[in-house]
Amino acid sequence: MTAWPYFDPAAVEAAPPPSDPLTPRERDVYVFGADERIVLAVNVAMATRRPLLIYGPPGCGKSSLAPNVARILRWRYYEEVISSRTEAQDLLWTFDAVRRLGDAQAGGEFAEDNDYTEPGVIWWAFDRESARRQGGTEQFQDPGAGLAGPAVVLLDEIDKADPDLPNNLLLPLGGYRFAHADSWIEAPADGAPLVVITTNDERDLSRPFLRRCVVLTLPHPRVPELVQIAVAHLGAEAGEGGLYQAVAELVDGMRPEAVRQRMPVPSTAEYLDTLRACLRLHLTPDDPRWEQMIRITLDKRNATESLA
Amino acid sequence: MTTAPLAAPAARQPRRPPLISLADLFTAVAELAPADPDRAREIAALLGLGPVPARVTRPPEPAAPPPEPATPAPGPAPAPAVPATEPRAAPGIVPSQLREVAEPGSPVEDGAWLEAVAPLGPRAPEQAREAPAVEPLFEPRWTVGIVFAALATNVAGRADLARAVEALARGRPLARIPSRPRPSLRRGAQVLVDLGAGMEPFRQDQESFVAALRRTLGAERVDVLQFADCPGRDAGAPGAGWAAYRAPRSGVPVVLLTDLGLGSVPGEARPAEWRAFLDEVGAEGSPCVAFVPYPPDRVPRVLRAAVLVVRWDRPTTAGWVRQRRTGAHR
Repeated sequence: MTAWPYFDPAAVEAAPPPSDPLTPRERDVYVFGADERIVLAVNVAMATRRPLLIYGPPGCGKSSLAPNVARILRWRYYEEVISSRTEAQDLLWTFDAVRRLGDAQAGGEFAEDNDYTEPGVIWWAFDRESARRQGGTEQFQDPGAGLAGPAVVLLDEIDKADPDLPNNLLLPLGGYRFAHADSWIEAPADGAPLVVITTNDERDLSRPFLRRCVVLTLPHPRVPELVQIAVAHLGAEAGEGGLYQAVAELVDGMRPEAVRQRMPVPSTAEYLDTLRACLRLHLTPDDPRWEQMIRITLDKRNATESLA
Repeated sequence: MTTAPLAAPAARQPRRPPLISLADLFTAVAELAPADPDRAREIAALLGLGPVPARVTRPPEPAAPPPEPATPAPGPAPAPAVPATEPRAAPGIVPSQLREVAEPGSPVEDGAWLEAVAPLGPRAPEQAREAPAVEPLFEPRWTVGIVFAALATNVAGRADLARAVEALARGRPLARIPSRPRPSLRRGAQVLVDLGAGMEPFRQDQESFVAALRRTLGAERVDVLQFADCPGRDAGAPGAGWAAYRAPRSGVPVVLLTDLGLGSVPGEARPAEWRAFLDEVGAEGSPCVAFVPYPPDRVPRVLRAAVLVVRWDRPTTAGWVRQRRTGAHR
């Protein structure tokens, strides 16, 4: 087993802190032992202080990787889901011009310009103290993440934004600092955040941006990985009758058809939901109802095909 | 405390962070101390500094079916693929077109051999071969910039404090907060692909450019329609029937991949027909951009006045498109 200097989930899971046994949570669709390449990529990103850019089809677990890393590292965690309206500036800070104008028109006392600035996720990740002084409201997106120390930031679905957004992030993400008013907001030298960026590859990202990122491509987990994830989430005992394997094979078998029809491929979360439903219904592969379920699944697939 | 006062203005503009380089590779390898050469190669691959190593931890993804061609029927039939059995010259040898002349009176000369040869059967699927890829008409590195310059439309950006302050200073009521426009591809585009005979030489260029538009604007924001000669005659989605053309909702740019009738092929639309169509699109409030594989000065003036004509060729740059868009044709 490889020992990793920066991010070593196996070591943490072997000796978890007494306050938190690190049991998998709803969003934790990743079990890092299932693919060592992921652990390697996180370590390379941390060693080189580069953003980690993750490609992969929808449902493969790209977005759940960052909070899992934060939880294992006990780092703070912030996330922003990018949309077509997101501008790079929004990730640093936003200026509430409407409130300021309202205050000005009201004619009463109003604060300095600085007081209408709301720090964005990158500011919080770089320098929490100054973000607090700014009067911002910290949004913890994951209760399992740490409360102090460095941060993990997830910029989810960056390909949804206009092409200039990644380029406008080159400076803050390259130097871990940006200018605001008359000062620099910067991450401490010994506490650089880990920036995780995901893309569904719906749009090309600019070459200057790509060439500054550690790039990882995640495929969909296959049967062995799915079973491993199920064991981590639901325990080995519940899968002893072959349930984990059977559902994993079912989900995996649906993938080529979904790809062929350009339909969403069943995700890892969907696999876990299906297992939970089976356990709740006491439905196992040797149950007479199992064949019926499989038939329904196939019928659904065929119906979709005939509609397509 | 990690905030620091800004340095002098000259120092305020930080340099772009360096590209990933050997320094990153050395750092990662030194810090992570890979146990074997394969792991070191994996690190290099993650940094984009080497080929993806042979070590595969999972089976590959099933291949998605090839995308639907942007320009199938009812256009002219595509050029036949090169037969798999076509003889190829050995490397370094230029194939000659000279053929041995048959002796007079021989079976080859009198054509009798034709009777003895069985006709070729249909080509087996495994013999089918993709047509060789053509070089894109735009410089690939500039394509995103050209598309952005040509198709970005202004959307409401941040509040325009200067205009708000000016209004307030003049004592005018502020009915709504003025905003600064910013260019965006958010509205996507309707792409009209000309399948007329005049565009036949550019069929692959059309397909690859539609793919580039999808990659730049996002596949969900690109609506592709096909037409022959002029969209005013009828248009339709690939694989669907054609009907009367319908403009997109107001503000969505319309992209034409066409020769605007310059191909000089019988049946091509005349400028008056094109102008009527362009006026119709303009009246719907949609900006119209024509990517034309000919110099713009060959496009009749009456059309240049109604559509932004972008020369679909290597010399075109994003700056040239921006310049044209803000000035010449409007």
